[in-house]
Amino acid sequence: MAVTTALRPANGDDIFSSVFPPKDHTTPTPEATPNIGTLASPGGAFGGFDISNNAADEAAKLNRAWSIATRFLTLSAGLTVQSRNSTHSPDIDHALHFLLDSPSARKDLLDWYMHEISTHFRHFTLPELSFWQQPIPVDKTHEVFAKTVQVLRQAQDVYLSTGSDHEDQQDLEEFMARIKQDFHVLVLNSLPRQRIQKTLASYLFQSIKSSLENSSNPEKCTKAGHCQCCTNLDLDALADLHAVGLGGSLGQRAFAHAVHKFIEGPATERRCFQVDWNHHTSVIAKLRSWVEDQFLPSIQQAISTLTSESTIELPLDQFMSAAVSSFGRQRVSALFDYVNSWPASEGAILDIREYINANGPGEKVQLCSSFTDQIQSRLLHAGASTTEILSVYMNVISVFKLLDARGVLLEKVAIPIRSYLRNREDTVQVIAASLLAEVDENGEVHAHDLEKICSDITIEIANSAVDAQDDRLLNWNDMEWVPDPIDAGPNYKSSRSDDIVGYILGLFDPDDFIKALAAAFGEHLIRSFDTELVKELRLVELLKSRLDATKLQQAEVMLKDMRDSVNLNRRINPTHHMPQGAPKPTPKDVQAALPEDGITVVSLWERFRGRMERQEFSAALHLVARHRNGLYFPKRARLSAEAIQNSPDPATENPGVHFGAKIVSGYFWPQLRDLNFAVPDQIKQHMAHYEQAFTAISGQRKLEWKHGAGTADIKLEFEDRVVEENGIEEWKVTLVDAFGQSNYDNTTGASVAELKSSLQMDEDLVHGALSYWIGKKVLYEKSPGKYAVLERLDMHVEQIDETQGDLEVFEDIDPETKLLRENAVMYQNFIEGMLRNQGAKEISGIMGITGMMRMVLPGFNHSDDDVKWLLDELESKGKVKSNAGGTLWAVV
Amino acid sequence: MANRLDAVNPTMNSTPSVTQAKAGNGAMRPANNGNVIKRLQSELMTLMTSPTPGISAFPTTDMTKWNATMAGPSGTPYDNLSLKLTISFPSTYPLSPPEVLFKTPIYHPNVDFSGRICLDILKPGGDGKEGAWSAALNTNSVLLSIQSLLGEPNNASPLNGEAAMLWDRDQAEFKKKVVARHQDIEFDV
Repeated sequence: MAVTTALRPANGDDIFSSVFPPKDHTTPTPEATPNIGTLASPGGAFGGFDISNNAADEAAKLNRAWSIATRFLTLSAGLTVQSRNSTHSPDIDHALHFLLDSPSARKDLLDWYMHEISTHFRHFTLPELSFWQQPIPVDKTHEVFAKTVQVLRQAQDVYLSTGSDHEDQQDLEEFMARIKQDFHVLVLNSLPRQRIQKTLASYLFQSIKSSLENSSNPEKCTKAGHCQCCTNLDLDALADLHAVGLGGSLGQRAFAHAVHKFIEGPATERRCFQVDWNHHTSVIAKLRSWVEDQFLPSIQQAISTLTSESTIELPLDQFMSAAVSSFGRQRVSALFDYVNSWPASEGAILDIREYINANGPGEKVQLCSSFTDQIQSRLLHAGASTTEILSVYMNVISVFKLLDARGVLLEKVAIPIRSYLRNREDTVQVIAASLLAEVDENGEVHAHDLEKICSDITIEIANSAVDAQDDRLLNWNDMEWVPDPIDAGPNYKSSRSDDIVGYILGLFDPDDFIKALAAAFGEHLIRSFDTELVKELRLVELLKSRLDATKLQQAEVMLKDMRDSVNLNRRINPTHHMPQGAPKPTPKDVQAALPEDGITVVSLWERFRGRMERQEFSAALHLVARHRNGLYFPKRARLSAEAIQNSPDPATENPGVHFGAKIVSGYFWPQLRDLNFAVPDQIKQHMAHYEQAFTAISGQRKLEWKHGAGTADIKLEFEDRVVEENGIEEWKVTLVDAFGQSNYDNTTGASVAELKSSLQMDEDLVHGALSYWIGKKVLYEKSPGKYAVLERLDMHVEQIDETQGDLEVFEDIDPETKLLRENAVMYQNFIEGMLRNQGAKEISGIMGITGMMRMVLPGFNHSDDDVKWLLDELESKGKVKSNAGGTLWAVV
Repeated sequence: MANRLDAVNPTMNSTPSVTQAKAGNGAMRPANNGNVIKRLQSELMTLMTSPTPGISAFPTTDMTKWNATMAGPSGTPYDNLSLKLTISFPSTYPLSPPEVLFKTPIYHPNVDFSGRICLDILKPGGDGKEGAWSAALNTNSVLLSIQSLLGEPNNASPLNGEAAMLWDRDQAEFKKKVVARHQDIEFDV
């Protein structure tokens, strides 16, 4: 039985072919060579009914049926629906039935027809789908699939149509179902499978995304409190895909890709799940309920349609955790912004916490590394100021405490910030200054130099508890001790009270920190007029509880010095009880001090003792308070204007100079600027008096005046105005005082040289002070080089501009730098000796030049930069040289 | 109990990561007698504030072990040579003399081949002892003595007999030997 399936002419014509049947039909053998019967063999059965058993007849019958069936099934050229009905006849039915009944014939027919189909498919269908040979642009996926589905559908109709009246033909239908299956395989094998899958995934992803976008209504979701956005896919399109064979395992895989991609991005990056800035709550719960209630059911429905299997059960848990992970990763990638905007970003932080808690330790590691990258690129560079970094550090502490109460994560992420801060030279100063800054009731920070203050620290200090207990490791009676968490790093320290203050102080070696603090503290105390020192005392106590208490001795001595000075001032100047600078209380102050529920006269007097006379106090009290049952209550009436004016004005009542001194124990205080000049006579008298009294009281202690730290309040009266200046440095006051002396003649003025000799003051200082007073329009340059008092403003000539520049020239040199300059030669000898005898060295590092200098020279506390300056000087003298990179220095 | 431990190790009683901040300053501080350190610091200070030309000394990472560099005195065979020495101060310094060794190979009647120096002031002094060390001496004077020893060797008690002989008989040959033996070295850091 030869079956030939040669190619047919492509432009075959139905009419023509009905007359001249196409050649490629197998012509059943009997028609060509009729069966003339076989000779009955001698041993054969003689006659009977079972003649059909004849093998030749069987073959002929089979051949005939085959011929009829194949002729019926042969596909004509093109993709138009074949009119198989027209050629349909009972013969065909019969033939098909006959063939399909026999398993071997059925298989042959199947093979033959598949071959027929594949040939046809390759010739007519595949060219229609040629676009699959090129990559499909993303925006074309929709069209591509519409076209593909249409073409395949058409082809399938052609291949599988069996004529209308075959309903009862069970076996034919089965046959066609089988053909359909094989056809789908053929389709998938003929097209680039990978590309189809990818394109299908992209197509499905886009449909899911656009359906979500179309149905999304954030306002509604916000109102409802949970997200109602749904993803309704076009189920018909999915059914179509399934019908043309694209819904099988390939379709499922593509669908899985699409859903995954959707969860990674669009599902979670939506307004419905944005950070809750208003209520500071986590939105993960919303996300979970959306996945469960909206997303999963619709995906379930879609996948059932695509595969037409209703039994697929999607794993809710995995969807949930995938959604939470992708959501968490998005949050983590913006963690730095959230840290910056803390505490408003609490919602986002809670999201992240839930994310890392829900998933494993891998997420924590990812969180840490991601955040470290963020701070490296966005914070830890030269462009960020130390105060900024410090306040971010404070936020990092709060945020990570919230993320992980045990502090393990914090320890991990804080390391780079800490080491960076340690390398910044001004960090310690900023912290020390921040610790000492003032906070008012509104939480506003006030300080001398606001730029150097990290207000977060100030506020934190103001709110933190003094009695922080620390270090649980050594407390062996602690029955609540637990081991360190399993993922803790080597530097992890479990502590119950590791509050923010502790973290800030922990940034530094306590010695360095205390040294810097002492400098800031000293400056603060010298400048402060506060006699109570409540805040300062509290700060010292606070630090004592956290740092080594013995190391704070210096600060305590300073505080004690201040208190002693106040007492001493009282004893030496008994007439001036007033602390320097604090105005005498007026009746208004007394009124303000009266509490609503009354106060006894004794306890009220306690507050004003030392600030005013007892008689004045009683007078003021009677003016503003009502007396009832031994208690004083504030009067309802407001104070009359007259009463205020009557209140004694300290300046007019006690003319002359108020003199107050602060005794500091030289050993414990940081270096004060020492200036020498002749102070005004009035002051000198006071100083002599004070010195006398001090010697009488304190015996052996030696008093040494530090004029560089002195300040004064001064009132200058002119013909047309009064200038009042508070807290002016002593040398400035001294200079202006020289213009008020009897030997000064305002008609000629005074030159710098004259001033210098009469005041025995440095020329720099004279210039600085002159510039200052000229800037204040107190003095002016009468003639070149001569300065005089500007009695009336209308005499003023604009000259300030050129002097403004060097107004503060003198102030730039701080005592440390001065010390460095003075000792430069000695230091350079040291460095030379070191380099000669120890070989080439770097500046920094433990064994570096700075480190060695500190070791061999106890008083040496200059920085690497100062050492660099010394080295540069030496290099210019040709004594040392550095290597090409400038890192290694050696003697010549 | 806890309190006592706190007192023993006060730095532990602080904040979470103080240990990180500690760069290891403590390791550098030698655990030696404080008086020796103080004395050496003041000697170093004198040495630095009034340096002697041709002599330079500086501590290593250990305050009691110094390196010194000395220029050969002019007019001697050691002219223009730079000689390195190590000085090691005992914990009883200045009651006992420091131990001084030449690190640079040197050819000298009173120095042996491992750099040991035979000099009276480097031996313990006092009653019944042959040495001439005194607490009044200091690093600078020791180095100065050694420098002058270079120009005026004590040939009565040589450590290097050949050198002593050559010094007396053939100065040119002595100089040759000195130059041949000399090599510039750097201290190990």
